[in-house]
Amino acid sequence: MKDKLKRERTILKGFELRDNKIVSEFVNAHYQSVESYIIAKGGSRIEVEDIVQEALMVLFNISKTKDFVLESKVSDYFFGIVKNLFNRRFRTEKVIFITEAEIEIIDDVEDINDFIVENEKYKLYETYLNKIDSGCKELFEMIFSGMKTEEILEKTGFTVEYFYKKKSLCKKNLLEKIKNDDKYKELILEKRKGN
Amino acid sequence: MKYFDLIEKYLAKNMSDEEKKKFENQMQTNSELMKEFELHKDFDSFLNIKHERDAMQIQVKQIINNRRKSRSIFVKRNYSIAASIVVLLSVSLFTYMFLPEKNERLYSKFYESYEFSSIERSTNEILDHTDKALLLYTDKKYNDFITYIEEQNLYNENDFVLNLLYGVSLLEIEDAKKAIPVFENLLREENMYSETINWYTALAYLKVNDIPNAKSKLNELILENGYYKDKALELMEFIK
Repeated sequence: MKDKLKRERTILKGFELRDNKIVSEFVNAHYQSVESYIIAKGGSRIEVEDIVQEALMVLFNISKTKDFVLESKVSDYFFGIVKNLFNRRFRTEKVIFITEAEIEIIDDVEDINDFIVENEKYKLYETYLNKIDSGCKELFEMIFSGMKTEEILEKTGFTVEYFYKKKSLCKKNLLEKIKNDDKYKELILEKRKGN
Repeated sequence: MKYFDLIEKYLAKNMSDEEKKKFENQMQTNSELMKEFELHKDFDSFLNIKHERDAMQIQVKQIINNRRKSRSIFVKRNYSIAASIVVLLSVSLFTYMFLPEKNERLYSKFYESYEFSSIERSTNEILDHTDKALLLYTDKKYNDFITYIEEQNLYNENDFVLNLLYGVSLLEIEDAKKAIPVFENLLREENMYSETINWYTALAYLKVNDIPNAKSKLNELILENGYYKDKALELMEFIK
């Protein structure tokens, strides 16, 4: 078991470091099982791709969480995420048949729900980032790309004061919009219920 | 975002110890501050991994696309195999559907009623069951002949002619399946009608698309080198 978890930790580390070989091998090893599950539940191949992509991003977020303790195989988390995502996605769109055993599986990975909610929030933040004023967007892109403040100042010609003021205004405006978003409110409520 | 500047200062670690303590106490009692703080902190965490998230998203999409492409190649290969199977199945289906038709045409081409007219008609003559049956045959009343033979139990009598005509009548009403055992039963013992019976048996097998048995009977006729040899050779050429 100890050795097994060592191997699992290597896989999770592969996600953290975005090791293409490890991530590809993981996808190739488990894609078909996910596909069979989703297709059997009435999903399409496009939905399989969407859910797998999202589940991999949730795994990536998990791998980036400093205090996360791996207690099971990465594939167990992955399937838990997939089932949860599928359930979330179709509970309002389609009537699906979920067995009691499957509900138990989903319940067992309830802690995974927090990571899924987190990913949902990140997606929402991305949506708002794409909607903001172009000046703000440009500024944020420079910050995301890892440019230092001095480099940004040099490139833009902004004064230090203007840079911080602009950055602050952009961020404040963005957070205001997110705070009032209904989807965000739902996600916050869901996370609180989970805790 | 009422508390934006305050939170920003706290997260940037720009507060004095006293300010920090006050802020943390305020958070315990002020739910609005707490909510804003959670969002602010969460958003900062997101910003910290945004760049990597974008890269990971591209990477994941590429992995899935590559998988789709390799799957597509696999499917195309399988399509080729499937196409070959479809062609084979089509040929088989064609053979299955049209070969019987070919056999049917050959049967019609080679089949001729067995002529039998040895019964002299006489109004005064008292006819027995066999003669009555034979008259039905010569009148081409094949269904009546068959019914009569079966009702009078004449089929069981050791009469090669009557039984040959019974078999031929069955062919006339398109019941080759029933005719085959009648003929085969007659062939168990050598008789003067064996060659004729063999010929009709070959045709009966052809009619039910049993080509191996049809060929077997035709070969016997060819080897016999008798009356049916030429017909047997000609038919054999068609069903090779």
